[in-house]
Amino acid sequence: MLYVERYIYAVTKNLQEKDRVDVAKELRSNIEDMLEGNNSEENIKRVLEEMGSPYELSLNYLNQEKYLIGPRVYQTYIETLKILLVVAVIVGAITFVIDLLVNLNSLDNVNSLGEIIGLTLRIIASGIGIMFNVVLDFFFWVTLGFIVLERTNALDDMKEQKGKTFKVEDLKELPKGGGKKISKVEMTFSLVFTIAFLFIILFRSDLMVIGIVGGEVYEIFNAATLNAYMPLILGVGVLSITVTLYKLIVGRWTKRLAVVSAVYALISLVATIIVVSDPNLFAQSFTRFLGNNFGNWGIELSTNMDRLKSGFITVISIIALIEVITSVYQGFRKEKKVVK
Amino acid sequence: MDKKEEFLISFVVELKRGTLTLAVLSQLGEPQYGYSLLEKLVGKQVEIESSTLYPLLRRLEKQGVLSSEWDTTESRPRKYYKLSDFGDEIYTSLKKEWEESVKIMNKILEEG
Repeated sequence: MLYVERYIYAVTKNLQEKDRVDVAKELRSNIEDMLEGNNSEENIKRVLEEMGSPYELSLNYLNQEKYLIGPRVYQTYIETLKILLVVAVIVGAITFVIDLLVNLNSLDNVNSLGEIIGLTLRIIASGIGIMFNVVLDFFFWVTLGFIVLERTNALDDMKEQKGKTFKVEDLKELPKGGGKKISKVEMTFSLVFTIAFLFIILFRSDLMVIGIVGGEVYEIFNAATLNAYMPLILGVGVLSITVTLYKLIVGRWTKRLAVVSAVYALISLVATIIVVSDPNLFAQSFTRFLGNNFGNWGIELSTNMDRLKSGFITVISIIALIEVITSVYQGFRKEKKVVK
Repeated sequence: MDKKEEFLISFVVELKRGTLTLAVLSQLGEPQYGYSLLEKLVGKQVEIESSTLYPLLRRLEKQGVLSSEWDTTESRPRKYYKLSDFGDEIYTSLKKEWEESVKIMNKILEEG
């Protein structure tokens, strides 16, 4: 009966959640009828192969041949879009607020109520404009990504069987219970953080400043240094988003996912160390700022800067190590007994 | 299989596909389950495969043409389908349409 269960799984896995159980039940009943009491392996083979490719049968249930974004992937696509919408709104809001704060300085030069209103409106409009742009961009790239996934059949291996005569030996094993579920909330937070970070670094690096109302504005990072590292930062950022999305799609920990996650943690660590270790990372104005405000605490900044940096590197290394260990543990642990 | 045979077969399939739904509906005045219906149709020389019939039944049910009920009284649960009231109307109309088409086709084929 193993082949039967595999067959039923192969037919129903592409169907919508609500149809899956029903179709499986009916199919099982029909197949058992067709076996006419003979449960020998050869009879099972005969009946199943007469029914034909589970992929074709699945298509008949779905009633459509070509999808832009197929049912298997569609659910995830919609969920990803929802998450990214939330992310885009949050990113937009964050930049808007920072923008507002930074621009508070210019309020000094403003005299009439009209100008204040004008300035506020401009900031709001620009904020909405940014958010809109960000949302559109993400929608476009995500949709494109999923279309590519669909076309290259990256997620569906049964399609390879299309055209070939169906043999029961081709049926894939049933998926094992699978590792622990991956928290969607965690993934959302991760996406929000990464995208906000990338967004600010790429488009609004002017916001990475410390501004004291009415006073000087100190740039934190050296624009030139940051620009030099831009490809690296962008690369790691995109990698991070891809890994997070992959985790979202798969939904549960698997060996492959664990490896991917661990490798990414290491890559990210190395990249961060490279950037942070650069002696030219922090702008002169920032060290000046620290000097001005904390110098009289008796702390010698230049030497302690290096100590701060190594301290930071140690901390993130430990965090990365924990990440690697947890990933490997989650992906490779023995599954607990699944209670029906 | 030579080209001519291939073409013939594809035309025949196309011809028969059009009558499939009507054939299926005609047998559902009484409740039937998947396999019993399949056997009945095949017995009456309707060429239909299980991989076509089962999804078709499901689709017809979604369209409201058929109603279904799970029978759990036997050792094995079975899903029984039969014509709904709406399905009954559809079937009657469809049957009339078919009889009309047959008349017209026969006339054309005679004269042609």
